[in-house]
Amino acid sequence: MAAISTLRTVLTVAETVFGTRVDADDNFFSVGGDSVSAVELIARLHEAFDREIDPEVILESDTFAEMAESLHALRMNESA
Amino acid sequence: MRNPPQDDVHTLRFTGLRHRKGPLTWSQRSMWNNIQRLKPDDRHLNQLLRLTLPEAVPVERVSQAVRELLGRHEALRTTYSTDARGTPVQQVQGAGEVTLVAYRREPGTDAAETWPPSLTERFELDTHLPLRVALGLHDGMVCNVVLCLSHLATDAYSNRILRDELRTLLTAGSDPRRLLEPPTAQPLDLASEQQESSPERLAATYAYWRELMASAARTRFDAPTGAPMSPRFWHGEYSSQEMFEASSAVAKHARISEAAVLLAAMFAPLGGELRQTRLPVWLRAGNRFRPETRRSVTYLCQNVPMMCEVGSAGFRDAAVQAHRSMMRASRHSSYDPDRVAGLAAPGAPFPSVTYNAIGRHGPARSVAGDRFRWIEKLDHEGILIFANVFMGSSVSLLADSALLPPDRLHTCLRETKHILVSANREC
Repeated sequence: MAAISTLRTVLTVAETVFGTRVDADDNFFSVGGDSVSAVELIARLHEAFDREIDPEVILESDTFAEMAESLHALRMNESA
Repeated sequence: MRNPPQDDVHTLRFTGLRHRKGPLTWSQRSMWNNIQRLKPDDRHLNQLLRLTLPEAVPVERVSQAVRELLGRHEALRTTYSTDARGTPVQQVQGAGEVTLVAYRREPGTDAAETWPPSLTERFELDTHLPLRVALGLHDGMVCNVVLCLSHLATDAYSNRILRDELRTLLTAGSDPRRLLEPPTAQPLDLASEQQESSPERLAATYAYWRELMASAARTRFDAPTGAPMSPRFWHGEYSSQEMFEASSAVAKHARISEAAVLLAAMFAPLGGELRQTRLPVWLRAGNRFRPETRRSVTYLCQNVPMMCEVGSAGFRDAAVQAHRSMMRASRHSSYDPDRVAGLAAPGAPFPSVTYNAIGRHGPARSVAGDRFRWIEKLDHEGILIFANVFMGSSVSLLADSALLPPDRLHTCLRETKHILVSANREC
């Protein structure tokens, strides 16, 4: 399970980009994500986490929870 | 069509900006090669960016706005030529001029076909900037602005940036420049960065390319099915709000990209017409995912090969498969075009359909009912079939009439809509 704070940040950023409520079980495409919103989401997550965001993490995660787990794992690896 | 009454020509001179010279980016080289292949029939690669102003402004204000854009985005003040070895290079100009041609117009007339054909003439890119500006004047004030841009300078994403910035500069109150976000990397910065790409990533990309090229070479559908018409290439467009409501709903339900859903829906009837169960596709990838390019005005698209299964048992399976193929392809969509040119087996060109999906921007244009129209008919074109999507607005096919006759092209577009509406009903 991703750290709650990472998931909360991901959902907050996603809600800003999509202008709608986003749940942990949604995925990027189920909330209407497209190439334009992907660029926005990646840029904002980059700002929020101060690290490069691999587009595959955004586009290929089955849920936002999974996306947050991937990002959390990357942060843990970096700080280890 | 004759040119409308020309009212005045204004010359905008700029000076004192950064000038520099260097190689093209990979994306620019792809487009450069495209233009070299098509020239002198490359004018249809030019793009019109139209802006209707809510309130008319003086010509001087437009002049200032264009000057601001020229300062911000080096792509707009770049010329392109070849060096002594024949390699294309770009030269960012620190000084130069742009002409603003004004035409008398009635307010509210902004259809693309009402602008003069001279506006979209081919660019002499070695001597002229890749930008032309036309103004629609009413009572001496500007009510429309149109930029014509070479595709070597910008892509659809860049054009959105430019339209938004131009709108802000022409409509916001005092000091609108403070409302503009700083531009991100300029084309020459990106070209320099590409020289240092990691060999591991490039090796994976070229391995993907080799695999796809070998697979595509086994699929042949480019033999003419009939005599070509004159003009040879027909471009038809189908607009339908219901179609995009369906594609959006299907994509959300299947949790996949809408571009994949539309690709599957467009290619199913095409596969039937071409008697193929799998079609090699050139996917036009935007290559915009990095924050460094988020506010960059440049041409960043590149074609990447993928395979589309069109003989799948059900539409949903085909759409999911298309989504997976697109995701895989997009990992390999930034590459050196000269390196991949040699990957196809000799004598085995990549017979393919090109697919391009341009994302939504702002509210969708509302079209009552369904509408079909022929956009253009061309004597020369460098591709067999081009499938284009303006998300939320229209789908279009440009095809060699020897391969897909115009009546069948129209049928394919109608069928695309029916597939999507049916799929949505089954969700």
